[in-house]
Amino acid sequence: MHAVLAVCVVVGYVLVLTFVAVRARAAREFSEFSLAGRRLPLALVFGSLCATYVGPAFSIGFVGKGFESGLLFCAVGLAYSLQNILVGLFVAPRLRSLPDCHTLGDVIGQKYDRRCQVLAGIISVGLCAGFSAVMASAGGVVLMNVFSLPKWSAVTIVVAVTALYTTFGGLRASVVTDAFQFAAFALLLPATLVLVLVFHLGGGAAGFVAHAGAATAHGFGSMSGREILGLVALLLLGETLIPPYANRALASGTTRISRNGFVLAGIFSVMWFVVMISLGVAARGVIEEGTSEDNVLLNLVKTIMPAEGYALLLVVLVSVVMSSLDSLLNAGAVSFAEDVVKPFGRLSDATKLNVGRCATVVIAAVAGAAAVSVPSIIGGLLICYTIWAPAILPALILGLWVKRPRPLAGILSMGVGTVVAITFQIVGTSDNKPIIPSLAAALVAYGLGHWLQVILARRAK
Amino acid sequence: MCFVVTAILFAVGSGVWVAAALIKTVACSRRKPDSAAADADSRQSR
Repeated sequence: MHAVLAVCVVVGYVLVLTFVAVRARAAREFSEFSLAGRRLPLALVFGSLCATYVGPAFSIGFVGKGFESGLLFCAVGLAYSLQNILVGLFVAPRLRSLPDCHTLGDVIGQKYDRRCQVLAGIISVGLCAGFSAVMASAGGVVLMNVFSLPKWSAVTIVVAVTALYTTFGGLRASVVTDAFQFAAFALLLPATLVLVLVFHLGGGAAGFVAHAGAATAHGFGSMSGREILGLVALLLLGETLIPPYANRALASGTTRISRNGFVLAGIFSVMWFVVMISLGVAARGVIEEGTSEDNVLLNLVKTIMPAEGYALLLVVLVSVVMSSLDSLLNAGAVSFAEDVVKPFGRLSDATKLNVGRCATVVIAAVAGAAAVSVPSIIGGLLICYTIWAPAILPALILGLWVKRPRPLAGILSMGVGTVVAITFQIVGTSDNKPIIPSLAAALVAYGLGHWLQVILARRAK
Repeated sequence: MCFVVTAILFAVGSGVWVAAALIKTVACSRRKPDSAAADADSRQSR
């Protein structure tokens, strides 16, 4: 009976989501598919940004971390919030003010040259496919619990539904469904916390503080200072301006909306981390002590809520995954059409739109196939983070601020950053610090390329 | 504890705000092309 109810709730949710996506209308031009006509209002930019970054790691993962390490991860998470606010204040308005930019590759192409744009496009598409595989895997795990299906078919359902509305509606459908999904989890997960705090946690506020103190002491005891610093670096840089965020900066109605959207999303992330960590801390007084981190949220809700509540939570988790997956699919497809295909030939708007749609389907298929072999959600995300930051950030940020950026600097920085980060992944160290040496290598390569091209230009004169 | 309550209120408030914007967007999404067409028609007739 409970299984039937859970299935009904999830199917009903998918139907409402499809209705919302259909009402958002199919994209008829490439600029609608890629940037929703550059007319997004503040609430949708904000809701969509939050829905995209709140994936399985910032929900299930953070509740588990709150359970194990108390307020430690709340402090670590502040690095992510700071990153969002800094991007909002200094980078997003600059991105939005550039004319005719659909992607980060376009921005890099305008600042450097076409070769840099193609390289940035290839890196963006690869990383979007990687992130999508991790999200598809997480969505598959949730659906496996509802329908008792094998993983491959659960992954197929999640990927197919998401790819369907993203292929036809483009960024607009992605943003509108993100807002729907954001509203669902921004209301339901805090409501769960209120329920735990008011009815299930013994000892009231004093009991909560005691659990938080004990968990935080355990957290600081189980991690070295170096590990904590590595995590702070990852959260500060690993997800900075990944293609879906950059697309939202570019698609905002004005530079002001672009700035405020990121700043508000940063402030919301502080509040979100507090809610998630508090859920984990409160769970210490409700569920068994040895529960594994990934099961804390599921076990907590199973313990305190009737079957209807558990089904609702599954809906929230499907939301969390799909809202991140649709943004990644759209960003990867737009980047493929704009940065990898367009530089090699003049394409009409209709052809670009078709290329974008086909790329959505292909990236979804690749992500679905790779999802079955993703070992763990956090492990997969860490790999993507450690490659993204060194590969793109130095070239992008310096390109926006340096007066005359040199193409050789861009090529060398992106090439060296990518190769060094991938080498670190293959050579394989267990700690999560390769982001810092890879970033340093990319910065040195940038400086070298800049200097070399300046000298070559002088000699040519 | 006070901060936890503030965080809950902020998260729920944001959810309501975005939901309201979503409803407005979805409700207006069918009307816009028609009104744009009407504008174009009136411009043509002038």
